[in-house]
Amino acid sequence: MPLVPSFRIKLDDQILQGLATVGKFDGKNPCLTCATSGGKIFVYDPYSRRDEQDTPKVRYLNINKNITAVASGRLDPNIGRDILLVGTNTDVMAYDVEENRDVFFKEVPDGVNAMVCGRVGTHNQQPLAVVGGSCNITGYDADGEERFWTVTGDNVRAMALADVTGDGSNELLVGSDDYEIRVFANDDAISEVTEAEKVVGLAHLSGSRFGYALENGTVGVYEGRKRKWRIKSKNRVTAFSAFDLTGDGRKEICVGWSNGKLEVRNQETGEVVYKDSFKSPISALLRADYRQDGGGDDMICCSLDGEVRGYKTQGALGGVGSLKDDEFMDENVKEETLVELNQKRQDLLAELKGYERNTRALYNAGVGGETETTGTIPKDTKVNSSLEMNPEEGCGEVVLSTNNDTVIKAAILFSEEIFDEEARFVYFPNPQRVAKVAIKPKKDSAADVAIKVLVSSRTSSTYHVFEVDFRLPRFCMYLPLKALPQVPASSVQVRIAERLVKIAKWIDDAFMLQTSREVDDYSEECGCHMVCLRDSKPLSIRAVNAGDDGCDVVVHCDDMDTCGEVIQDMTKALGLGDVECTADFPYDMERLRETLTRVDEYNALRSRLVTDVADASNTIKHLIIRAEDSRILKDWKTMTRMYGELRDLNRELIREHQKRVENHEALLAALREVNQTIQKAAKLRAGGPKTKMVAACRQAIKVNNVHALFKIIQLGADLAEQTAGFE
Amino acid sequence: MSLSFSRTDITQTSQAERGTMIVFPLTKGKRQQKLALGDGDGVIQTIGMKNDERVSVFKTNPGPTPVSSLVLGQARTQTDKLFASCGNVIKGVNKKGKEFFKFTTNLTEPIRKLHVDNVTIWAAGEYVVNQYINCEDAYYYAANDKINDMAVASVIIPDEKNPILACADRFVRVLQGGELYYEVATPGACTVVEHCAANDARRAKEAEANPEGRDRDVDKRAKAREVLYGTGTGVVGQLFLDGEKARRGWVIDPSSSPTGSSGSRAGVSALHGDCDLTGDGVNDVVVGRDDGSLEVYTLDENGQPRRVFEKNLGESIQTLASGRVTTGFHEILVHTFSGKVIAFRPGADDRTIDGFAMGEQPTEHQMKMADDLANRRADQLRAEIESLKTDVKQARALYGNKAENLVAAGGAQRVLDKFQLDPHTACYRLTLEAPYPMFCVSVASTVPLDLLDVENDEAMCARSEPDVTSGTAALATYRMQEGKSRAEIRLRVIEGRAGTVRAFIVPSTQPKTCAEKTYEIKSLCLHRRSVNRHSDEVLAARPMNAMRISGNFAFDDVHAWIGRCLDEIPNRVDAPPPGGEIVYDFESALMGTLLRVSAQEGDATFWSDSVTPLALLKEFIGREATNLKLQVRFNFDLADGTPGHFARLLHPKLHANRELTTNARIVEALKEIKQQEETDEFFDDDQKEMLRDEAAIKSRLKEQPRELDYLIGVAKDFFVDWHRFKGVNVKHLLPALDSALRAKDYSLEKLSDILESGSV
Repeated sequence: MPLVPSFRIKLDDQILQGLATVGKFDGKNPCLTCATSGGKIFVYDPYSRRDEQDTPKVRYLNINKNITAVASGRLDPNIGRDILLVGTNTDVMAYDVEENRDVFFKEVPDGVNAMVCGRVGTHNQQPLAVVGGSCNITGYDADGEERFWTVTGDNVRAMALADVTGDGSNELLVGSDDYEIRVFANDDAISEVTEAEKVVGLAHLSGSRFGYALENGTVGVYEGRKRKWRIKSKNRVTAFSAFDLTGDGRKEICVGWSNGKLEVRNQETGEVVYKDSFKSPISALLRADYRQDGGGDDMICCSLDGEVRGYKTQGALGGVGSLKDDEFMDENVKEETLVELNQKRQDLLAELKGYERNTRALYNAGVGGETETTGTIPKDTKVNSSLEMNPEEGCGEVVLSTNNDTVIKAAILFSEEIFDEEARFVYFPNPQRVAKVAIKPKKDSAADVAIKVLVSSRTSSTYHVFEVDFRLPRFCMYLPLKALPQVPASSVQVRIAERLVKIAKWIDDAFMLQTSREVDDYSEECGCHMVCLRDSKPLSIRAVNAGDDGCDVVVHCDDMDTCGEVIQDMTKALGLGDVECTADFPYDMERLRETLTRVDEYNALRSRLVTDVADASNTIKHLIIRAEDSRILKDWKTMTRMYGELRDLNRELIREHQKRVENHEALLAALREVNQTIQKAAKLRAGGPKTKMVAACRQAIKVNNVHALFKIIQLGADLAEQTAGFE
Repeated sequence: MSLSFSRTDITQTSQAERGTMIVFPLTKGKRQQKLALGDGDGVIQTIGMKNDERVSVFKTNPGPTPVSSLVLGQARTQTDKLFASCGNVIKGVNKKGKEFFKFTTNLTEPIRKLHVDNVTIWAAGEYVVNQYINCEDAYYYAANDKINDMAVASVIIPDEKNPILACADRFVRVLQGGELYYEVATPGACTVVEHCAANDARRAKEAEANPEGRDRDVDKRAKAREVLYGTGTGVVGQLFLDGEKARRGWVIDPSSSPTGSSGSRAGVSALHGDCDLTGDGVNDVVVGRDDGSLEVYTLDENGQPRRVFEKNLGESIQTLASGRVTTGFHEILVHTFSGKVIAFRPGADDRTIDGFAMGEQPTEHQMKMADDLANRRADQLRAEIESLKTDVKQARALYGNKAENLVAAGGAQRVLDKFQLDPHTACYRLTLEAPYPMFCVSVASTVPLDLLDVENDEAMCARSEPDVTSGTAALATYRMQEGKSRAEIRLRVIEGRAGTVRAFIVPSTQPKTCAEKTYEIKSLCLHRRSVNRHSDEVLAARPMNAMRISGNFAFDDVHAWIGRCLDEIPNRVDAPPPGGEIVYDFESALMGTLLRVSAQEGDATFWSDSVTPLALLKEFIGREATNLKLQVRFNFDLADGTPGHFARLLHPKLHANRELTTNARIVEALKEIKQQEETDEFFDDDQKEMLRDEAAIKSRLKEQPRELDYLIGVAKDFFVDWHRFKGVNVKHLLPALDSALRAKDYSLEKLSDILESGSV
């Protein structure tokens, strides 16, 4: 149904995507604050009624850098007003608009991708400015002190603060470029779900329920780790939020699209409740009591070309509820609403008719529902599915079969995780009872495949659509081997307090094996050898009975990531709390050592380049003065020479700048690698040891203690500290 | 100047065929008319409106076959009697809903259109028209190609009625008894004919009032029957038919109208010409199309049509009528494919037509009333939806008990489909429309296809790796947006590979039966039959190559061969008299080259300014003749200028494709400058245009590499075919040609040179 705005404003400036916030910078009046082109920020104050010339409605702040994030909030509880936070590629700045002063300024070498302001976790009672960079999240307090730090797998794109667990303190929801959505309680990741694309938007709904948006145009809702629904569009999501527009006490998912469409979807079903459209892409969806007319908060929708509309909770028919008595509904709104309701009714009627029709047909077909006479299939037809491995082709196969003479003519498989464009269509020109579909997931993650199987009798050309939901296990791409040609050099060893039988059972479940048959409580050890069908890398898992202490599990694989996945899966399956390990990854450690050396080099180069630039700018000043002097003295020859030199110097500066940019990029990449390695190492552990390890690594990097960093990765935070004490 | 309409959804039937809605004449003392509807479940119902509420008069029980035509009797005593056709049965139903007449005809095909006048019944099937008098066969006519529609009017003498047929082979045919009286060519397959009886009466009256008869032509028109026709190519035209000949009136051709005013080009599915909505005293023309466009044209002082209203309803319009159903005012009534019955009432707002105010500004009271009404309707609908939801739940559970997994017992419902060559882009356009929301459409093809994105269509395309060993060359799935019941798919095909395209339509509501639709791709699939014959000057201006085949084949053989290679050839054509020949003219939608086919018994000649179609025809005919053990000789007459001519035709396409990558890069730079300077006024017009077309350039860029491959493929085919006809095999040079066309130093001269010389 069409949405009826409660107000509209047309601003002259562009509003860049995702770079808008509403803050009460004087403590009372909400101001719309957005980044616009040319590295500027504008503050639009609709309450500026003072008609003096020096306080216009729109004020500009020049940042002169590429603005990458904008947020506002009561960062300092001691002053009763909001602070504006501006993030760029290199730093983050907190600014007090009312007093026109910087609150703090922090260099952030890996850039600011996303930013929120609020209280995080339990131990920090003061609000923080939480900055998401590449692979890490940092929280700053009002003094610019770092109060919070943790790592994620990739660039942070979306963040939201909300009390997910219901414990009275805020958790941090983080969406990143490695397709993961993580929930951090303090600096501990308490929940993690893997999506199919980069996460670009997150919005909390209630309890453990939150909405998400992906780069490929997917929007959906999760309840904890379980997805409730999702939809996908060809357009890009450019703004994402949650707001209760229906007035039923539950927030709806609000999505702004690159084609200027605004959609409001029911959080339960994903059904579109309201929609509106703008002329340009929607750049932000905000929430504020903007008009302060006593009607509660508005949802504010900004579009790229500066059009701003506010919406209130809508009435029965579009927005009549919010209209005043002397206003009447737009004819079109009325018409569209009725047309839409009619359409809904029609769809329901059609379904109802379908049942009637089929019941009649069933009746006509007689008790058996004979195939040939009615052109349809027996009514007890079923489709079964199973998974097989095909080592020759290097892939898995989904086997579909019917339980009678009917044949499978085609199958459509939907899975966002496995197929590039989400769907795969297979057509069988010579249909059989059994059909096989090759399947090759790119990542080790469990995936749901929704299969539509088109089944008919051999001669008929109308098909019944069977819906089969197939769950692809996480480690389906590993083929068991008798022995490995070569045992991988890297390994991770964990001691867990669990019986050997249980571990053997887990191995069977995870890798679809039958090792537990030969294992009992008195067995010495158990294990398996496997090879990955994707890259033919070997993987071996061995568990040794350590008596009353439980078992030692050793995972051999050259890929630290895979080891992490295995450990994580085991922890989850066996319900283990804290897991500490001994990690031995010679290749990864060597790479990390090289990376850290490179980081040092880049840093050194950077400071040298900065001094060079300072030198050059002095020379420039000098040259300009000389040139201008000569111009006034009409000494054309010198002037020309000076300007000539200036030009050369300028060119050189551009070259230098280029170098700096390259250096900076290389530095960023190296820092990312370091963060990623820490993240991978963290995955080899669980619970307390995991959190401690991340914190310890951060500390080691801060004091630039490479040796300690390696020890921590290898032994974990506690053991590393002990050994350090011995040394 | 435009007209505004307010929409009222009257009711909903199940899916509807064309021509199954009719408005009863106004009865004495009543202000509103009643409406009769037939639908796919075989239900006939009559409804009226009273105080904005729908009132059902009667509703028959569902029948085994859909209602395919619903009309009122024409004789004075029958004007309140309904006649409906279901399959090959004709039923009469009185205004109370009682069946008073039933006649099972001897027709083997379902009746598409009925006309009943006293005891005479005309029934048009797919290929035949029958006339029954007192249920006895009187006359019979079999058409060469499909009959899409029929109107019946007294064309020749006042006391006798003549069927007027809309035929798929591009003719409007007038019959007398069982014989063809004359035929009128139309630009494109004729889909609809509509007799405008009210206009006939008006013209006759005018002529009577002015007996001096200004000139003879006008006078002739006054006595003629006015008939509107619509074609699959979107053209609407006016014809005046009398016993002498057909005279042409105005024509609405959306493809020739200047850009900017472009209306829909979709095929015409319904016409109505008997209502005056603008209030200017002249009846307007209402056009319904198969893409859901509803258009209203008014006739200006010169009698030329001008569009004053356009709206897209999102689904095929099956029937149009006019009357006073919802209120006492004239309105347009629309019956759509999914069964919606909608009224459009000319708006009572301040807009005018030719300075003539259509109504007054509504008062506050009226607006309040309208608001209340809308609110009441919305609440009503919501309540209805809620109760339907529980009904559906119950029905699903009930059905689930009877059939496990909700296995469907009935067949799939009818899906409206259209597979047509779009002459502007040289792509095929497949449109599918179902009476239920679709979940996805999957496409499988035995020939290589390039599946392109369709603008404004929100369906997501997922291409799958085809399995060549099992004979599929292209596979894709289009995932529909929720609630959409219409899909549009664009495919690029290669000439010379004949095969089949299959589309599977998966519904999103239970029980799920999937319909399969198959389409044949002919080997000369990009050739489109020309509307007019190629003139001699046009042919003379081009280097025409001729291929003559002669042998002991019959006319039907050669006609069948042509029909299997080229589209839009009638299924059956009487052999020409000895010495005569049948000529068909074609134009390639991709290259713009021409093809002429002339055939007679034992002899056929093909002319073209390209050689690829000739090579394809030779291959096909050679193979077919061998299968039939017929002797066929081929003679060639090649025109020397052909390679140069072909190069000149191909070059602009290749050039534009290569330019695209450059343009895409320039656009990026222009955008940055515009953003920095915050204005674009210093750009020249080309650059501004480029900025405007950014989205189009980007979307085309995605298809660019595939398009380049495609165009190079066309060049390769020509290169090989031309030199093979010349007696040289140049296949080994193809890789060199490929790289030459991709190289930086490519130019028209080079292309022309390579094609001409046969060396790279």
